[in-house]
Amino acid sequence: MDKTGLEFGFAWLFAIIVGAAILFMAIYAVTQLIDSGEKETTSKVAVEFANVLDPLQSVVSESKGGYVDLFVEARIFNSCNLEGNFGNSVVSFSEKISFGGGWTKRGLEKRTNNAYLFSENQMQGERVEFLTFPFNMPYKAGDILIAYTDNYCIVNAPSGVKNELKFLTGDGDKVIFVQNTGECNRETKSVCFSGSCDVKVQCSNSLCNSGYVDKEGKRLYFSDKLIYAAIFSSAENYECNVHRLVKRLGIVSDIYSKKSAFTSNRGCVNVNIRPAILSLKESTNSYEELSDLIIIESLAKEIDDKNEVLECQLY
Amino acid sequence: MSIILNNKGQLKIKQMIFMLLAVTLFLILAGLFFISIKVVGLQKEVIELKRDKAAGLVEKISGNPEFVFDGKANAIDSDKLMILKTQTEYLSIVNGKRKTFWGVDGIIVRKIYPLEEDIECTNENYPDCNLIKIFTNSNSAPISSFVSLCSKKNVNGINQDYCELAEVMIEEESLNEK
Repeated sequence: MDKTGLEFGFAWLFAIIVGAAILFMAIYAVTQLIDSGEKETTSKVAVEFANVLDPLQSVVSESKGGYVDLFVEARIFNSCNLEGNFGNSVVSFSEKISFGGGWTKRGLEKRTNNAYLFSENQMQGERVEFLTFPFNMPYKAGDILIAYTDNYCIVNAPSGVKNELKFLTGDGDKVIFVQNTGECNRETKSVCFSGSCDVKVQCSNSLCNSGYVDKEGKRLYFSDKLIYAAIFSSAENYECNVHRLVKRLGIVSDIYSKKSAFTSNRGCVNVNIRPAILSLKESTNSYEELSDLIIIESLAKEIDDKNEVLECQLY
Repeated sequence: MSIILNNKGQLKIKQMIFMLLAVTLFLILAGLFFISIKVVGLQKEVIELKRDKAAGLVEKISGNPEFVFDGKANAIDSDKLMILKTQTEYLSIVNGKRKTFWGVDGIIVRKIYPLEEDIECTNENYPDCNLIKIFTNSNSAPISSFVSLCSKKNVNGINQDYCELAEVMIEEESLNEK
């Protein structure tokens, strides 16, 4: 009788151990599957988001505003690197889980070398607002793509800046314009053209097409439309993406210098602009920091002036 | 009696082991089946996303600095395209695979009027040609859009912008190595 009991006990013990092992493996597999499913979804969103960046580019020299709806609350992580000839904007996503209120793990990073995404390092929301400006120095070298989800309160903006931003942001309430810092909500990010704020803009002329922005303890020099990138982007992303734009400008300048020789052979003589273009290319190669933008800007102006008087203009 | 019970017990254990093996095998097979379905689905999605990227690019390709013909909407510069053919900066090797800057396998531009036999543009015959191939040897690709193909021309001593209707075709990036 005792022996029968022992036999029954061993069989059960064996079954329980192996069953538990199988159950453990099954639970582990399901957890991994859910995890990879979430990662797959967020990675797919990142790729779709990066795909949207191409159509957001400007076709002619126009600036434009727009938005992308994500349909679920998401965190968008944006960073930038200078790898290769052009560098990359690197985007990844995390989505809010509908039950429990937690966040999914960050999905795979999507790199794109054809977009210059200026934004905070992390954005959060269901809708991402975009502003697009061509980066002309003096010819187009890329598009400044600004993304933001926060609310901004802009204090004492010059009329040119105010009108342009008002036109591009439309009826949206993400960017408001006031006369005094006291009129800004606490939840909004304040941007001051005079006085003290989170972001302080110092223009060097009334048109505000050059100057600097002080934020995060750094001084971000800007030229022309880069003012908006400096306002809406993190200092880190701004510095890196401007460097990427300058790298692209160097390569595009190479194309323009070859074009001037190419078209001059066919009767469209503009080869005398070539040395200035080559100087611009040289200065992009020696670019190190934002203050070097001034040199690039002056060379760009010189090329523009020369091109203006050409009988057969290069661009 | 003890030997009979022992044999009976061993038989039960063997039965259980077979059962457990069968269950495990079934679970593994079911898992593999599920994974293979997922992989096929994922591959389809990757192809779809690459196609979306190519479609998005073809619509706005004329906005790229390497293509844009300054001052005209939806126009690309044929002189720049001829130069772009030889610009190696736009090609790179990533994990042993050739990659272009735009994330597509190639770009083809064909003048569509007047309708003539394909003559690929080279430095020798340009501009008396109608097909510009960039980073590819193909003559056509499925994703296309229409643009103005413009260049500077000197006609009777007067320089002018000369534009023709053209089709831009984009060869989407393939999943396998080329």
